[in-house]
Amino acid sequence: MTAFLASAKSRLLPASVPFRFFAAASVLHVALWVALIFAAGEFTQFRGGVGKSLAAVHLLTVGVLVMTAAGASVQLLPVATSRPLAAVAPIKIVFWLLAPGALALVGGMGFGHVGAMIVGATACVLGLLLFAVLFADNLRRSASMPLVQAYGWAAFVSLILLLALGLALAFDNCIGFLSDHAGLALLHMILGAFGFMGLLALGFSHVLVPMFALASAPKGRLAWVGFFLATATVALASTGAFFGNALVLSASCLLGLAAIAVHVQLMRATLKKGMRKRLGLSFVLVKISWAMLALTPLVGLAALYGLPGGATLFGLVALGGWLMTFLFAILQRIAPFLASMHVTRASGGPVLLSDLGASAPLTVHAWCHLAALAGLSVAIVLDNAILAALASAVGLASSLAFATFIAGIVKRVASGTT
Amino acid sequence: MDANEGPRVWQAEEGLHVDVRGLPCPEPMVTVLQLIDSGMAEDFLVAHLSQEPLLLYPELNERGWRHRLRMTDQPTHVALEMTRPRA
Repeated sequence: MTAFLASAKSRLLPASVPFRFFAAASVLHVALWVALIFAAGEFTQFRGGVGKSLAAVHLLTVGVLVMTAAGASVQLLPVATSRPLAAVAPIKIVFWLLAPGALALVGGMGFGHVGAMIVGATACVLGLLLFAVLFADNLRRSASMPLVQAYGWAAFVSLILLLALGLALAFDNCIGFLSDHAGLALLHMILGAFGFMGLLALGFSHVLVPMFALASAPKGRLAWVGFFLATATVALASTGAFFGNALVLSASCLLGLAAIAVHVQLMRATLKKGMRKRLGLSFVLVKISWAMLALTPLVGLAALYGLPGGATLFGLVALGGWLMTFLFAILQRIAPFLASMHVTRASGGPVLLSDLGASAPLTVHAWCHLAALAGLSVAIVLDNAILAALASAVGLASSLAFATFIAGIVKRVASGTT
Repeated sequence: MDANEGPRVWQAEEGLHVDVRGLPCPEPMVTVLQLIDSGMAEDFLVAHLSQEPLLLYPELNERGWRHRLRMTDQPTHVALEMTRPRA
């Protein structure tokens, strides 16, 4: 006679753990666009330095991108690698260091308060170091996904360097010990956007895109070529930024184009052979994010050779166009997925994904998000503060719509029923 | 099963079985859904996995399939029985 078991769900974290990261990212997403409205007068000419624009950039990077990636990683990595995280408590500590740390960091940057900036940077670094330890421990115990592991380790190395540089830059505002603050700030940006977040996004794409398209994961020589090109690009760009060498930075842009071509080809082939053809709005955003990724090295080259506002536009296309678009596209798929494992249907029977998450806010988010990015791009090229403020107001509408979507899911998870 | 090998499918008296142990994520889920969506599994399928397939559950729910875990004698062997209720 066959005996049956209750579902163990041993690798499933309590819902409150990933959703606290997602909820915080949604709130800080709203704060990002509010900050950009106030920073509109200076943002179009932003070249670094403490102020409202730097605060807005870190609301995006630490508040939105890292917060979302951390929440998704702690739940999805154990499922993907078949290895549970060592413990749940450290993940909560990561959040309680990262969330207030991010607020202190951006507050210090926005209001020019060096003390708050250093306290915030220290808390963020401690939180992300703990995250890095958990992440590395899980990668170390995984055996079945060598390519995703390789991306994970490369992202891990970038994260450690990124954190060391971030802390040094924060303290440099107080004691001034760095000889080339601007050059190291560019290196910090490259390690953050393309090293840590970029390689994490590319690596997880090898699991998430086939998972949603119901296709086999990319494998074979081309997938490894994509990995080596991507990591070589980050290494070359970092070298160029460290030595302030425009020629090396230009070469990294060209290498980056090759890496992107391979990645997009792998992803297109995955979608083509997938059983699910209708992937909805989220994959429209994913495809747009890939287009923005392809645009990034071209804008980088244009910036190196004198495009007005080129450096600011490069940051916008990479951080907003590619990473933010990609992460929100993925988050709108995985949030209902994760929620479905924690709730029951009030009317009985299994929970359907269609029960979770309203579609109207996502439509508003997508249109406003894309319009805001387009408007900001034009504002940067024309150096037009009014247009930047208007575009940021549209971005604010997009963030409120996305927050409504996440709030609806959190409410259902909290009540335990749909 | 080696990770480089494909899934092993066999017909038992009770219905179709598939062994996807050792395959990397998301191959186990994709293999099971291929058997269901292609009609090969008809109304019954048992999947042998190395871990509980959390990501598969929402997909089975969407397709109207029910699922329950069978007890096995190995900690790294999970058997998931899936059935489609007759209308």
